[in-house]
Amino acid sequence: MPPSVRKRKAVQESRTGAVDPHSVKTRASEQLDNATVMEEGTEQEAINSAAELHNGADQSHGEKPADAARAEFGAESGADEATSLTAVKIRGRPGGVSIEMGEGDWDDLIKALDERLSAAEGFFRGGRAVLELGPREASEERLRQVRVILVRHDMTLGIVKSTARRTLQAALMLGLSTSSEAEEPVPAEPAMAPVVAITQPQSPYFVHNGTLRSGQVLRKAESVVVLGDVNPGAQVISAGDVMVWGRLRGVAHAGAAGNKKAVVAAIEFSPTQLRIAGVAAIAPESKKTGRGLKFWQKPPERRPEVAYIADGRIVVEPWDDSRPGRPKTVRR
Amino acid sequence: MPGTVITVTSGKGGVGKTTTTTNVAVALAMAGKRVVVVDADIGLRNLDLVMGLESRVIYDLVDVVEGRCELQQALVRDNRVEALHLLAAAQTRDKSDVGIQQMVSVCKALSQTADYVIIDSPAGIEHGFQSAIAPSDRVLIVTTADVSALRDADKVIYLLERDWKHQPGLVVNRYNAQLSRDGELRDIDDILDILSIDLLGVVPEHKSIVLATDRGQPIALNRRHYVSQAYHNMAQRVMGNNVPLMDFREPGFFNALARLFGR
Repeated sequence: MPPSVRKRKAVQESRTGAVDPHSVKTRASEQLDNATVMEEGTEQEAINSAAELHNGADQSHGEKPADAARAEFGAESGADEATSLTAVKIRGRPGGVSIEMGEGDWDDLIKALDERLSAAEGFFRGGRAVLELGPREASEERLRQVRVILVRHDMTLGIVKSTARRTLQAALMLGLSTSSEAEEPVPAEPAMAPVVAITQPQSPYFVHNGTLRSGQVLRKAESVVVLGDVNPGAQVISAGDVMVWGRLRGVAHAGAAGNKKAVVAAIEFSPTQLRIAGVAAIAPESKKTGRGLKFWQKPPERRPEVAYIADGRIVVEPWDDSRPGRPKTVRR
Repeated sequence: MPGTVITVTSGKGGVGKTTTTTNVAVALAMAGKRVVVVDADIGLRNLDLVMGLESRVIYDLVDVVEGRCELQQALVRDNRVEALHLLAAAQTRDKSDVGIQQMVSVCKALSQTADYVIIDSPAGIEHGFQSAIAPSDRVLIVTTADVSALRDADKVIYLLERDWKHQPGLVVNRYNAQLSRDGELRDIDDILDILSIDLLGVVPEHKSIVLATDRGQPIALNRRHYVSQAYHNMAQRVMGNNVPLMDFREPGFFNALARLFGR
């Protein structure tokens, strides 16, 4: 999920929750310093809708948003731990996560890292970490400790950065990539890379570039965007939404994990079969295209359409171009 | 420079792979190219029937692979055109008797002396299909306008793109221009819309093709017949020349009138 959405949610939680909004906010900006800075005093409506959007996404992944927000910012930690907690900095970066180990006793730092990652409740899951150690000399054993913790949180240790030669050598012994520059990390892989880890709800969208042909099945936990056609005989299955930037003629199944708020949308909407959560529908009679019409007959207008569940049934209607992202009648 | 190996395939059976193979090969040979056609449908051989060379087949592909004869011995020469040869399939054997590697080496050897090696693939997407695709430089997909043929063609294109990185060319066979003009059946544009690959040729539905195929006299040999133009155009496009699609209407007084009125 985009950091900005998560942050908005945190702000909203803090307003409703018992925690003092300002302190949480400052901590939030400190921790997610790469996130787009949200302006103060945004209308409550925007925040609410963002939170709602977020909750919708969460349902399918089985997270508990309220707990996650509180835990992530660790507001209730004791004073001692707070020092080592701040010594470990975890930042989201394009293409991965950067973990910076500051001053302090190594064992405390390791403990703090573990706590921070547990507190994040899988927010960084599937991420590729860049470990920044600065001038610290770390042995092979110590790096191994970090790796064990990262693996426990479903993350991978990609690059070790340090100015100390010994640390770099230890990293090389462990078969890790190293970098001696202390400057901003360059993503080791294209930003798409973590998205390929399909079962991870880390990125909310999976983009398939190209046409899905007969016999092809695209099955993802994230929402799916197809840049191309979905031909008859092909299937797109997603726990989130299915968006087809082209012709949808195959089978589309949105909200496959039971999310009834999922939608299916396509530029040209003529699926063989449509499923959202547990509801299925077959396509209405296909409209006649321009060919074969008498000269006085007008070809039917083709517009992008979107399908969603209303009153337990699948409804298809034109995509509302005045409010992109929403069907005309329901405002979710 | 070794010649080009072209595989003709379709997924679905009965759409006209063998007819297309034969006629394109004849048209290429008539254009002065050295052509060898290979029947990869082992166990269900019929390329030799369609080409009218059945009685002259002595050795077949399996004999070559198992070393019972030289490759050149197994080639049957077609006397009606300049340089057209056939390598027949075995009727009594099985697809598994020719491995993918063996198929590749046979075709490679053939392409040393020929400009075009054209492989007639069996229907389906199993072993026979795999070994027919493995040696190819280019693939032609034959389809009709039927739903089932299109669906299978789509699947085959998917497999080709995924496993072989091929960009196949499309041949629309048995095209009924009248039905399509009336809007009853999908037309070329609709077909291309679904399959989204390059069009290599369109062959109109015509009884002469059926009869010619049945008699072992490929229609492409008869240049005076208007439908044979479809195959000669296709051969030109295979050779890299850009020629427009033919007019699918049979020549004649009434059709000339219809053309005047734009129908």
